[in-house]
Amino acid sequence: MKTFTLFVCVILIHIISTPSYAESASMLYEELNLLGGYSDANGFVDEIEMMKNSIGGEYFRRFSNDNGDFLTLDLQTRLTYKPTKNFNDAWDLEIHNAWIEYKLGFGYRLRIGHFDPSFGLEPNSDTHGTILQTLAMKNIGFKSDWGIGFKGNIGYFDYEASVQNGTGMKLKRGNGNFLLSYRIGNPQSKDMLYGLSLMYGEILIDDQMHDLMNDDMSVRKRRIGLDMQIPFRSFLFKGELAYGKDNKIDVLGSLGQVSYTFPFHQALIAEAQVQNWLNGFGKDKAYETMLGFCISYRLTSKITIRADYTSNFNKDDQVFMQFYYFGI
Amino acid sequence: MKRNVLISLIIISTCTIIYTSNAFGAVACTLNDPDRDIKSIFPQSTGYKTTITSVKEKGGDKLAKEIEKSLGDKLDPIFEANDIPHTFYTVLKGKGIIGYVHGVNQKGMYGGMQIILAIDTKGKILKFYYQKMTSPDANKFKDEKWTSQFNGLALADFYHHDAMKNEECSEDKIAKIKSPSDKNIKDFVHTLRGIKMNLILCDKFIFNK
Repeated sequence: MKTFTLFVCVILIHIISTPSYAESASMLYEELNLLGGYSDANGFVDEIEMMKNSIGGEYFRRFSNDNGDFLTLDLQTRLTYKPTKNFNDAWDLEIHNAWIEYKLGFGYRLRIGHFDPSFGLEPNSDTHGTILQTLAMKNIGFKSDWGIGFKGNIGYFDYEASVQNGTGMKLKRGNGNFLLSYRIGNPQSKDMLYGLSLMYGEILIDDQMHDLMNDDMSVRKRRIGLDMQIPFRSFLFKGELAYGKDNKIDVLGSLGQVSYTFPFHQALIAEAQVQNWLNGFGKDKAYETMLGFCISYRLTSKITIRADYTSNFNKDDQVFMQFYYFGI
Repeated sequence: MKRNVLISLIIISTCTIIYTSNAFGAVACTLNDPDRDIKSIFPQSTGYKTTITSVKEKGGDKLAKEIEKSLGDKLDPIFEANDIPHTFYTVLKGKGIIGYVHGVNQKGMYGGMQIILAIDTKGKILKFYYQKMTSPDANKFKDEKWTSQFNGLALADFYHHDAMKNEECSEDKIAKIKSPSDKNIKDFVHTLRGIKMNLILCDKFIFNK
């Protein structure tokens, strides 16, 4: 596995430093994410699911020759910092996107590296800098994984299939871990988007997205999911439904989200999200509901500030502020 | 613990000052599905090249002022900032160029619009469509019978229309196009601005005029 990691890194470094035999279009985005809040259960909180105080960047590059574009590269990393930890242990490096995509022809692409599994809303939503997330963490346990993916189309419909490692950020083998995912949906160019997804895998349970637990506990996951996005006037509705099994336990999850752009001041967006998650249908069932409200305001074209209130009803209430910078 | 919090605050404050000192720029309008979109507009195409550039890179404030003058309007400091990257798709047939595709974000009455233009190698509109349009009358605006009225127009037609303001002119092709909605006529005005802005950017970045 170390050889594979090394191979991917060598390929990425080689591509970034590619000489001028190929033309390219590239962008380097800088990112700064400052956040903090208060939770009834935990007091001061300096992170939420998938997001910590961090500084990072995204390097995006398209390569082309006389016949057009043939290769795309995306590398997105964050250096995170947890102020509540000992200074030496407070830092960590997170890899989010690290992939290259080879264009096989109009509509057909082969991707290798670290990218979103082909399941649910996540592959078609940009949640990298947002407080409100999709069901990906509940469904899979992480948002991106190492592997190979293929994108194509069957008539009107687009599909994508991925074969991945089942570990998230860390590359690790030896526990029978794997992840297979597939999504088919209508074309991205349409206003209303919908899709059907399937997933099957042996996932290593991850304490944090970067740090596997020592005992490497694994879960056999099976899922079928539906997702959709509907714009209507100044609103954007998003929905996701997933059913399956974690080992032998039935699980059922749903997500509904509405975003409203204020017409008189379009830098201001209000969002509300509800997530439901049911573990087990029998006597031992565990039910979880999360309700989130988020106001985001774009101060400048690069800077967005967000205020969020999340309630897990009887378990915890939390308020959260975010200062997010993303730009060239 | 206190030391850590203090160090964190110092790092965070430093980063904030560094980062906010030159704050502008965001993600611009790109095609959601370039393979499918370009093949549908140019069925004969065999590929396309993507170019990414910005007003900041091509001339900065001086260029921004020229664009504002040509547009006859101020650029939005958030959605049309100098360092917003603009993505141009150069459409190829074999190794030859057969056209270009470019999109802009434009404020509308109910939210953002994404105005996509396909132009030929001389800058004439081959196709105009909204990739995103938030309006109760979106169907009327998106109707191809209406959008196709812009086919064949070029930036010169918009300049001529500006020059003929409040005057009747049989050569004013823009004046012949009426809003598809009486209720949301402001979105028609926003659309004209967006198309003109798109053509100006093509003129500056593709044709280097």
